[in-house]
Amino acid sequence: MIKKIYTFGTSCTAGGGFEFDCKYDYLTKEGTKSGKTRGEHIKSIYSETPYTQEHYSYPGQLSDLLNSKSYSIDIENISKQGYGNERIERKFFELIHNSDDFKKDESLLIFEFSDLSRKEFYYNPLQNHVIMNYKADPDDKDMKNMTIAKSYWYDSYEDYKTITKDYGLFKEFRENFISTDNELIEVSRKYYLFLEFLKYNKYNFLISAIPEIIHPNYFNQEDKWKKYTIEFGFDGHEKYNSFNLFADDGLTIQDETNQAYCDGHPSLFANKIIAKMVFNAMIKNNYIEDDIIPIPKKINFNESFDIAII
Amino acid sequence: MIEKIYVFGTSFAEGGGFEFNINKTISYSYNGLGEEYTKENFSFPGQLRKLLPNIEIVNLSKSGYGNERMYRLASDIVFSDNFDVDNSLLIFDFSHLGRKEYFSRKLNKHIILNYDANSNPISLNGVAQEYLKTHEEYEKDIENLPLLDLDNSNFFNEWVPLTYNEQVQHELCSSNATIFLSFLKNRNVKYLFTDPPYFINHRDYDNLLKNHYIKFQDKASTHDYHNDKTISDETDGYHTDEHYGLIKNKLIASCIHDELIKRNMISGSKLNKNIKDFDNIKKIITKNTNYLNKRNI
Repeated sequence: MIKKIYTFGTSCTAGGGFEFDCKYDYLTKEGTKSGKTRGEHIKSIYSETPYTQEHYSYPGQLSDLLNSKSYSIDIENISKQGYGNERIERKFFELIHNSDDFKKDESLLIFEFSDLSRKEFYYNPLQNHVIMNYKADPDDKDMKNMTIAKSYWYDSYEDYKTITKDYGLFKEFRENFISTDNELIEVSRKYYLFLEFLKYNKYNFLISAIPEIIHPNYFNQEDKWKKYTIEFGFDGHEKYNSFNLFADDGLTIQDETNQAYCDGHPSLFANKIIAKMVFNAMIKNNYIEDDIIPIPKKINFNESFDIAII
Repeated sequence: MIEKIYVFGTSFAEGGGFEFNINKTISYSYNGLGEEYTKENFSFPGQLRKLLPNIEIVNLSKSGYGNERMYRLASDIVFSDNFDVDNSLLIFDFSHLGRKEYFSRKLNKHIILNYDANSNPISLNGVAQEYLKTHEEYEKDIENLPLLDLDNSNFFNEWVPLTYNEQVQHELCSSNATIFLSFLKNRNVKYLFTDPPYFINHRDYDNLLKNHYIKFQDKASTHDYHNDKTISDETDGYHTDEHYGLIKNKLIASCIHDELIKRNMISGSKLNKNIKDFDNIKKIITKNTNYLNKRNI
């Protein structure tokens, strides 16, 4: 009997795009200051409360759905924007080794795995981990496109100043020690090792997003994990192994707001649908007993809006 | 029955200390034993090969490198479609904290950083592509390594203090080992330790470690077994090197042999070797060393 769900992932699981507490200036499409913070701008568009990233994420929507059906299942969302698989594994081990509340048999783990382009470091000046997001192209020609953050959208000016001081060293690391091809091998190998670990230790788990690219060396592993992978898609339409790819098909925030808020993360509407699809996957995998929730017909905001809001 | 054994480890499994190509006097000390003067032959996997002539032994150990390389190579072998899980055995000689692998874009290869995990502030023991080379090879290696100059690396001197935290590294080391060994278990891969991963979480001991020790008399690690039988000891200090001596490597090989019989992985009789069985070898080494000392070589 599942009593708790832990969701692990990146911004797409964390409710990326819905940073209501972000105090940064919101920049218009033209890159000019709008006079509002990012948080204020999002609040001016959306009316559903509470105004929390958690509520607007798919785990938040899943929690509401489970509550509405009188399930006593708590959801703990351990995702963080910008971070990737290294953090997922780190946080997973923190949970199973350090949390007295964690009960393996009563827990369902749902993983959104990330792709390349993310490298985590422990960073002593902030006594915390930081994440490097870099441009991964096969020839590693673009070395300039790289950012470092402790927490995207929430880092303080002091954090930013500290990281900027060492930016040159991170850049040297990127230039000398990150090869896209090697990283793809590492991400692919570690992904499958982690899945084997979960299976051997009999964790209840599902995959809400697989890495977008797998190195050809590991193509022979893919089929083994299909039964753990949730399919996302409207009835009779293309199915995706990743909820974020499903949302990319016309269901992002910028699609939902008709460009009034330009952000490529899954929209609130998408997260509501995704929550239902995860709920259905829980039924299919015998984690709960219930009736399958019908999924609406295909919706694409780009086709639904005739007139721009702004 | 086992048909193929893979050994993964560091210099202790590679035959470290027996770099005959660098120091020719080592071969003088081991003259007259009928041993082929190669690092591979003097290692314990090389000696095991002599005890198990019908089993293919692949020694993938490398001096200076650590667990990250082991996981990389071993998992790729197991993931391969050609891996024969029923008839293969993997032997692991785990290293401890103090080794961090990096991938050099310039070389398109991995390089290894060795550091002293217990020092504060952290002290670096060097970066290399390959350790235990001739001086000329080493100099050339340094020239090719990224961001390094001959008196060591400016980059790593700044990078490591900026990003290293012992507890974080220890936890990563532990979780990586847990994931890797669980993967082997999930695949029903047979594995044993010549040096076990002591840093693994105690909760995983029964599951992942307990039944995988090789008995070296009453010790679980080759490091603790006859720890006074290094190359330095064996050559009465003529060669200063704390890697395992030839006799110790022969003893380790015989313990592994006997363990495989005990576990019904191979057929045959136990050897039950002990140090006295190698007195004759020790006598020859001592005689050689005395001669070298006398001739001031």
